[in-house]
Amino acid sequence: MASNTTGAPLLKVEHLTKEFPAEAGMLAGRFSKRVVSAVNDVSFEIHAGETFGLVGESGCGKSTTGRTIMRLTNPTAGKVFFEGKDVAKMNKHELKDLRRKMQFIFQDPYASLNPRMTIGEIVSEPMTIHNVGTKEERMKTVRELLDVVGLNPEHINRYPHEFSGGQRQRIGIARAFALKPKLIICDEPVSALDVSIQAQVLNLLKELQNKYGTAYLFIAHDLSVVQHISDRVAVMYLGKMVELSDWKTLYTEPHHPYTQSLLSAVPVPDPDVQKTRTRIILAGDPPSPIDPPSGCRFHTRCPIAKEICGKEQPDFKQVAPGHFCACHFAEKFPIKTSSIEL
Amino acid sequence: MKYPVSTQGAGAAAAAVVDATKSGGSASGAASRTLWGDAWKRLRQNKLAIVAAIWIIFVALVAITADLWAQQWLGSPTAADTTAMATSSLLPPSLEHPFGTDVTGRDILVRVIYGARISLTIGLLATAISTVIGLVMGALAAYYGGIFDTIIMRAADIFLAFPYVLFVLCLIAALGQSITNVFVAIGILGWPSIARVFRSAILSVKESDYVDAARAMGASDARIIARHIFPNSVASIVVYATMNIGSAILTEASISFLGMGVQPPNPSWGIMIQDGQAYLMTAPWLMIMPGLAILSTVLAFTLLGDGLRDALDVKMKDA
Repeated sequence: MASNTTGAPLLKVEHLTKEFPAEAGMLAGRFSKRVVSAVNDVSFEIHAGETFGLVGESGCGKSTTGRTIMRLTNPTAGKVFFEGKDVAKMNKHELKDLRRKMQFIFQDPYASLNPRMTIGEIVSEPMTIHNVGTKEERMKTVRELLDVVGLNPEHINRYPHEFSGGQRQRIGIARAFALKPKLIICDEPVSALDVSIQAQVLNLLKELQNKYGTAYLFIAHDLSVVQHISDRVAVMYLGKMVELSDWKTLYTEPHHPYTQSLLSAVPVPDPDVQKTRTRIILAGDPPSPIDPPSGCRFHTRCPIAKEICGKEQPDFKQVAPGHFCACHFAEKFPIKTSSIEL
Repeated sequence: MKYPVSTQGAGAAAAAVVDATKSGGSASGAASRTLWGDAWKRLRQNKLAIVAAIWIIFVALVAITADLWAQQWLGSPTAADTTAMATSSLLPPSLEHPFGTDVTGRDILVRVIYGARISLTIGLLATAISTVIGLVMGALAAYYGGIFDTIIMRAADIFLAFPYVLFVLCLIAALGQSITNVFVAIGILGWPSIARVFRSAILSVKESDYVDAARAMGASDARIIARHIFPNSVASIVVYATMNIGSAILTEASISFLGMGVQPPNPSWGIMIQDGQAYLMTAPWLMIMPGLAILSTVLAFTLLGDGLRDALDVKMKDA
């Protein structure tokens, strides 16, 4: 993975915030201003060719972050820059160009393919929309893509329901690569698949990255999946980014207590290590994003929380070069324990 | 993997699905396939639906060509035989009059045949009107949502809250009595259920990942509607409209039975049943024959609708 962390970033996200009205229907927001704060003040950068992992439990806003960057939903506040251009200010023409350079891979391989289109139509659709080549050229490209993702190019006239989950996800990947984009947002691309298929698809994504130099924003709820593919990893909790670092540091020296607890939950394939290591079990469920806790959003479940945590929001500050953490005690008491063998 | 021939369908299709990545070998799914072609293959396997379709085509052909042969054979469907009333009135079914004759000596079969013209015309036209209104309303409600959705769907609820036949009768009374007004009334009042079905179909498709995927690719609204939303929501309407033809025929029969629809001496299945009810004990064929015509035709449309639903479901295993 040739990541180029110097120079201008490919994607720059600044203070991204997304809120949804908490009530649905006609009277939503008329009487109360209750909102679900799905993403709150998230900032990060992705460089060309790198893989940026975004981890967190369900409902923490990681998918919303991806969808907002893609402008499938509009942000409430904050900015997204792609190749230096503000995505929100793009006109129709520029937006179409953006869609060409940024693609999406979905979580559910059953829902993300139109059941009434053949594989050929599905994979060639991005090229059709952007008027790339003639019909024959497009079909030739589709065959090549199917071959690259490990499917039989002869199956071009089949329908999605004739394929298994893993094969369908390969179709989704072929579609995402049809325009050779610079960035692909992968929204939990393997979490709907069997573990044995997960590894195949992850390896395929890696291969394709080496071949085309595409950058990934890799969203997952599973740290062990992210570990396989990411250059840098960010951890989100309840709409906030709590820690961001290169993957090795994050896995060996996690600063934030939430990251530590997540890592302690990753099973280790060595029974001796697994027996001895301590598991940090968080009490309770994540609080509701409609009414997030004051101060540090994690303080209600944090094993090291002190008085200040309920009062003041911790800054997302640099604790080591390239390593950011949002915890009042990150610098004072870095715990830095991890039982993950790398 | 070629399409397996009909008899071995399920097993071979299952094999096609588990067919591992990159195997395929001799597989040549490359033969061109269309959605409607596949649907037709699946429909052909449904014997009941095919029988129903053949029956509908038969009734339609008989009704359309009736002028060429029916009157020469069986006499006029409308003119009462005043001269020989005593001899030709209320004859039971025979070779000369296969369905018997009514009280004024008219042949029942020829009246059933001409009645089919009215029933099928009303069934088709009323359904066409309901479907067009229903599609537009359902699409507006689903696509624009918000206040549009609320107004249209509450209006639909109000329409559905009235007793249907009574509502049709009122509308005919207001519009004036004629065959045209009968199918206009049935058509206008049939839209709410179609709008509902179409709206919910669109809503579920609109929220789907593949529509998001198309948006993320930069597809225009027109393309998303034409290529993604419409093909995936229209199947339910085809099915619903087919079944609706049957119920429109039934409604026309009820309206005519109540004396507000087609007027005598024009034959309609509903009127014939009404005419026959006085002779239920002495000449039951007066009611039974048009009754069977209604029963078989409505049933045929329902069965065909059922068959279409299965045939248009892409997730059903292949033919």
